[in-house]
Amino acid sequence: MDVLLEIQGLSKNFGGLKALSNVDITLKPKEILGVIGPNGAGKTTLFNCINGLYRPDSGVIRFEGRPIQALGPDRIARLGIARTFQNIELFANMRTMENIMLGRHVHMRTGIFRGAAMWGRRSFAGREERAHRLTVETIIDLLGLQAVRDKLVGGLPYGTQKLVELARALALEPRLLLLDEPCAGMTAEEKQDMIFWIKDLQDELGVTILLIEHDMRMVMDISDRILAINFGRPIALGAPEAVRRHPDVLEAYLGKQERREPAA
Amino acid sequence: MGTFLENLVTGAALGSIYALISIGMTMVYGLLKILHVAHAGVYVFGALLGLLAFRLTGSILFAFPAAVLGCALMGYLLYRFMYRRVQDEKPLIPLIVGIGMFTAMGDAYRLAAGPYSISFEHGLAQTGIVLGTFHISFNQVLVIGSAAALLVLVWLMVNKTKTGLAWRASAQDREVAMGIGVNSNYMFGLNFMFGSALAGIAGVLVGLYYGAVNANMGEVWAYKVFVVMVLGGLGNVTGTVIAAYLLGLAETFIISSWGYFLPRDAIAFICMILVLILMPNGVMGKRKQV
Repeated sequence: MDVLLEIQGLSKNFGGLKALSNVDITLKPKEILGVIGPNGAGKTTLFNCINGLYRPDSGVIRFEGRPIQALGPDRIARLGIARTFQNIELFANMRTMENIMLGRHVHMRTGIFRGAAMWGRRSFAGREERAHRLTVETIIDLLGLQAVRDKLVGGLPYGTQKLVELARALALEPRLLLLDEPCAGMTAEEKQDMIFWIKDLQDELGVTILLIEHDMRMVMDISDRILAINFGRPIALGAPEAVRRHPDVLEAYLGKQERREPAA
Repeated sequence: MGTFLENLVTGAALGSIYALISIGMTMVYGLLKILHVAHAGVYVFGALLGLLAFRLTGSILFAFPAAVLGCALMGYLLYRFMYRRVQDEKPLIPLIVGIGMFTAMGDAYRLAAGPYSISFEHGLAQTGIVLGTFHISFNQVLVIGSAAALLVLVWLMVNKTKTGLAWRASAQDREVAMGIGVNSNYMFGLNFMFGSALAGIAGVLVGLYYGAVNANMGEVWAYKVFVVMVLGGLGNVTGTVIAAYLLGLAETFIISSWGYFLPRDAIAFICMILVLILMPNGVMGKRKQV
């Protein structure tokens, strides 16, 4: 399949505000597409439409050829789309391990009735439990979260919480990962690590990533292509360098200016 | 000393019943932020079904499964065909729907069972343990013991199972839980079934404890559950259980030492009002989580 996610004519209004109008995106497998735009441009609204928190007013979202714009967020997660949130949305009263284990929920087939009927390590439920723990351990190792696995996430440093949220999203084994400002509020060093990990996810796990980020250097560095939106409308889409120099993008970020030739 | 111990046992038995009735409502509140007033109607349904099964089979052993299955089904239906349709409305709407349903249920029970108390005597009621002046009845052992076992079961399910994990996640943040694939509607349905089954057991236990059931026995409970919930900190399951036992003990000891100067329900509601004014987060005193 050469198209993983296809968005056509996506629009979403809140009252009179056009949060998104006529957005088209085609995402190839294993691609990293960066989404940039000033605050309030509609980036997070786009994510909320893709993962089903919002229902678009018009337009089609196809994931692996299947229209998903009318499905609820739990169905969409089951199809293989995971996300992180701009403001960390972890279950603060739970431990790191529990938060990540929740990401496995979509893959768990033992419900409460079946689980109650089967006890012990050799049963189906017992084997399934161990398989899930193994996957979770792999992710914990990958992101270097061993030291905090049994800590309550509410008390962890901000950067670590961001990682736990990423780990939880990875536990779904998604084919499409939506990252909403994964580096926001991180130190330069943490940002560097995050860039490595995201690259790793693309290279080693073959995850396709849609990424919102304000840090221009990071987003230019990491993305295969970039989509710039402003006032809910796409204004540029293409290679990072081309988008960065696009006049509409410059205008959106810097305001309309008299064009001045750089001094020689 | 004998009086103190007997008060302790009586209070614990009352507290056990309060806990079993209130857990279901607290769980619903924790997950959906709905005040499920019709829960008291489920509790009466359990008592009546238990009595029916007892009359048909002659054994109290059949009363419990009948109440569990019947109430779980009723809880699920209440959710599926009533609350689910209004769960995203303002909280007032499900509250009013619940009150209406509770009133209708009460009338249906009175039509079916009549307005008078019906005897729920079983042979073991008179037996018990006697140690000098200290006396525990079989009923008290039954109530305290089965409540303890059920509370352990609830604790295990909430804290040690994957479904419990998903339940806690949904209670903390429904949207995020759905975003990672938790089917919230399934959780809600399960939640109603489970809480209703506990209320059904409570209904049978109350019937056995007092030797009678009554179609009106839910009237006070529809609102008295609020007392337990408020004392425990709304939506907090552990707090609710602690509050239930505290209330059962407080009622018993206050009446035993100061005489019957007020009906016990009045004492409970006064406690609730005082707690709301003085400790709005409940006796557990937990601040709102950020």
